Parts: sequence; structure tokens; C-alpha cells
Amino acid sequence: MIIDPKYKIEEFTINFNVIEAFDFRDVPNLLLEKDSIGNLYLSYLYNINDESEERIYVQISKERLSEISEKNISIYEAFRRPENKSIYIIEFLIESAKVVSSFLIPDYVFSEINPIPHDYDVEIFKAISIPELDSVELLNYSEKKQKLIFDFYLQSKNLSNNIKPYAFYKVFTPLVEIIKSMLEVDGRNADKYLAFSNFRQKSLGISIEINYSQDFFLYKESEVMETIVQLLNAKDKKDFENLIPKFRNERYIKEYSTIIRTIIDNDANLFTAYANPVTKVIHKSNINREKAEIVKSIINETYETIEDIEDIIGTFLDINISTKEPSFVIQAQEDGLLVKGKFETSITNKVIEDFVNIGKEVYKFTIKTIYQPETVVKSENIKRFMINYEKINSTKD
Amino acid sequence: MWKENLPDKCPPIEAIEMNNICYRVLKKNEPSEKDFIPLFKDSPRYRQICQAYAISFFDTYDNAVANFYKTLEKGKVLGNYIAEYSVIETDGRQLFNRKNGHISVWFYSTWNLNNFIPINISSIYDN
Repeated sequence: MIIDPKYKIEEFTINFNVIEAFDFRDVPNLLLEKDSIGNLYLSYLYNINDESEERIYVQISKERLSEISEKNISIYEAFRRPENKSIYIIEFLIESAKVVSSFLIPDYVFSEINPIPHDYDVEIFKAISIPELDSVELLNYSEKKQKLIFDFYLQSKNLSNNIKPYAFYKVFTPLVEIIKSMLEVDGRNADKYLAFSNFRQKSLGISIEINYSQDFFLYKESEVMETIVQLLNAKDKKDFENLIPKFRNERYIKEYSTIIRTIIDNDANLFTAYANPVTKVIHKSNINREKAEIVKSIINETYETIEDIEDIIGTFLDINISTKEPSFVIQAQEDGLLVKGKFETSITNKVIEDFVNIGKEVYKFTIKTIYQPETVVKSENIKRFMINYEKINSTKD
Repeated sequence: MWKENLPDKCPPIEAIEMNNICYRVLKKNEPSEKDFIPLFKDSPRYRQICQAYAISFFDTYDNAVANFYKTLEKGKVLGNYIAEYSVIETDGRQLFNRKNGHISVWFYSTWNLNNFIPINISSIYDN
């Protein structure tokens, strides 16, 4: 194969990594390779001696790789019609992997010298379903974009042919909602701070790009993402106890419960990886069904509800009967304490008909208190209901 | 356990112990250790590639010859002779590609050239 020297590249900077051998019969005939930012290439061996190998490279998308795998296009055609209209030809030293020469050739020139046999055919397998991005690639991408990259990958048997709605609505969306809630980003400005890239089918993979601060330091989002990764890695009560002060509200637990429940229901496996271009650190997490069951038992932990009925002597300070659940505020005569709550439905008519005197007449109030003790992820909850009241024959001075 | 220092998850789980008659190109009409050293195992580009640590055999004489000429077209002379072997379970794990007749063999560390005697050796150019 004679190549016009005008296509020679003086300094070749792409660093290829061989990730799969599709045809290795004594010599590596056809390989799948990847550059440092995750682009895939098919490389075909066209010349070899004891010292060096010369290979033809075509950049290839996963979709195209699938087409070759399904025999919709031949390997010859994939090289003849490159997606990016160009072909690399690289000579490597076998012993050191050093690049000896490199050429970048337009497709129309290459098609005239293409040495790949028309009928060359091997099985293209495995690589199409590469589940996760590797760490180096994720960090390189994060540095290139100057954003935090949160890579999401949900795997399940029922996602192997197509993506079911639950993957989006019950796992991906709740996770994005947790991020938005913690960054205090609402729907109106989400487009400014978040972006999605690197979609992968064969189970669902998406990278979330985050730049909230719009600067190089990414302080707030780094803090938020580290907390989220801690949440995804939390596996016992102590982990959750340490996390609770970092969340501003309990919304995260509602969303996280949805994710956990969905992982269990679908026997799914959620892989996440978070790359920070400033600290150059990658954090990973993995929640499978077994771990989700443990987390679920912590989240759903409840203690026995305590009920108490007491009489309080005091006066009405406020009554609101115009709402769906009529409410009251009373003041205890003994210690001046304010007690708020709701009227039990059985006495709401009595309240309307009695024309009670707010602030002056003294009553004996019968109050039912329902107390739900705090759990690892939920704060305590006290609800008060007025179940009866009787006027006492004395008035407040 | 293995003759070569293999990367993780190598050989693949599909590779199994089998008893096969198969064919391999040799440099000379007398097998030597060099004939059973994978050509690319020391190349940095192939350090993590499992197939780079396998020895290539073929299911038929004709498939071995066809591969010899295909590789020769690319400039590499694999050898001059074809040896017929009986590769057995205790030699290692084999992965057979039915489509092109290629068999990758990852030898166990117990494999020994002296016990690996060819059934027949003939010059590629004889036929």
C-alpha cells in the first residue's frame, strides 16, 4: 500500500489502548482500541514484520459496531466509509509500542488503496456491551469539559433489549432530583447547570455534567456530589446518621426510597462513578439487590407509635374551620404553653355551632397526642387532635 | 497454574479442556520452545489482551495453511512446517472458533515441550 507523504502526521498524539481482540490468529488481525477520551477505533493489521506492525484505524461509534456485529455492514465497508471521513495508518514498534510513522488519509483516497478483503468477516462481540466507563477516561472527560461528571449505569436483565420506563422515571430521574434539590436548582434553570451526555443502551448509561458555580473551582457542586456518593455508598445506620445533617430537607429520602425499591423490584444493579476535574479524584458506588434490601430496612425502620390523651385547662386563641382539616391553637392556663393541632372530625360541627368565645372563656380541652419517634432517616413527628372540649364556669380576667 | 503470566479473567470461561487433533505452523521440522512462545506477549500494547498469551492451532491442515498464507500476505512468515498434534485436557484450556477453525490454547504450567510430541510434521511447500 503506497501512501502519499503529504498525508503524513509529524507528531502523532493519540494514545491508543487495545481493549478487545476480535481476530487474533498468531497475529492481531482485528482489534478494538480506545483513545484516552473514550473514542473507539477498529484497527486492522495490514503489514507486519519481526520489529513492527502497521495498522489501519477507523474511528467507530457503538451503533456502527452493532451494525457490523449484526452483519448489516461488512468490516470492509466500515473502513471504506468511515463515520468521520478519515482513516489513520500507524506503524508501531512491537517491542516498545512506539509510533514509527503515522498518516491521516481522507476516506476517498483510502478507498482506492483499501487492502482489506471484501469478504473479511469475524465475529464482533462483547465490546458492544462494555458496561462502565473506565476511570481514566471519565476523569479525562471531566477535565476536558471542566465539569463534574457523574456517570450513571443501570444494569438489569430486563434492560438488555431495550430501556424500560422505570430506568428513567424511577432511578435516573429521582437521582437527578436529589442533585437538583441539593444544589437548589429548580426546573426553570436546570438547563443552565446540568447536561446529559454519553448515552448508552444495552442497559441504561448516562453521564450527568454539572457546573453550578460556573467557575473552575466547582466548590458547591463538589460538596453536593460527594454527599450523594456517600448516600449511594451508605450501607448501615451509622453511615446514614452521618449523612442526615448534610441534607437540607427530607426530599432526598423520598427519592432515594424510590430508587432502592426499583432496584429490588427489577433485580437491577446501579453503578455510579463521579469524577472531579479539580481534585482529580474518582468515587464509585454500586448498589445491587442485596445492598438495596439492607438500605430499605434502614429507611423503612419504624418504632411503635405512642398515643396519649390529656386534659388541658385553657382558652382558645385561634380556630380555623374553613380548611379541609380544621385547626386550633389553645393556651394552657397553668403554664401559658401554646398547643396547636387539628379538630377530630367528630367535633367540627360542635365547634361551628357553639360560637365559642376566643380568648376569654375557659374550657377543658381533651387532646389526643400521637407521637412517632425519630428513625435513622426521619425526624420525630408529633400530631395533636382535639377530641372534646367543655366550657368551665369561669372566665379569664 | 499457567505457562504464561495471564491477565485477569484469562482465559475466558468459554475456554475448556478438550482432546483435539490440531495443526500448528513451526519454524523448522523439529519443534522448539520458540515455536510455543506467543509472539506479542511482551508488547506493551497487548499486555491486557488474553489472546496475546494463547498459542494458535487450527482444526484442519487446510485451515492452518490458509492462515499461513494470509499472514504471509501481510509480510510475516510464521514458519515453514506444519505439525499435527494431539492436544489433550492436561495441556491447557482451548477456545475453538468454528467459523475459521482457529483454536487458542492457553497452556498449563505443567505443559512440557518434551512431552508434546507431534504426530506428523510436513513442509508447507510440499503440497
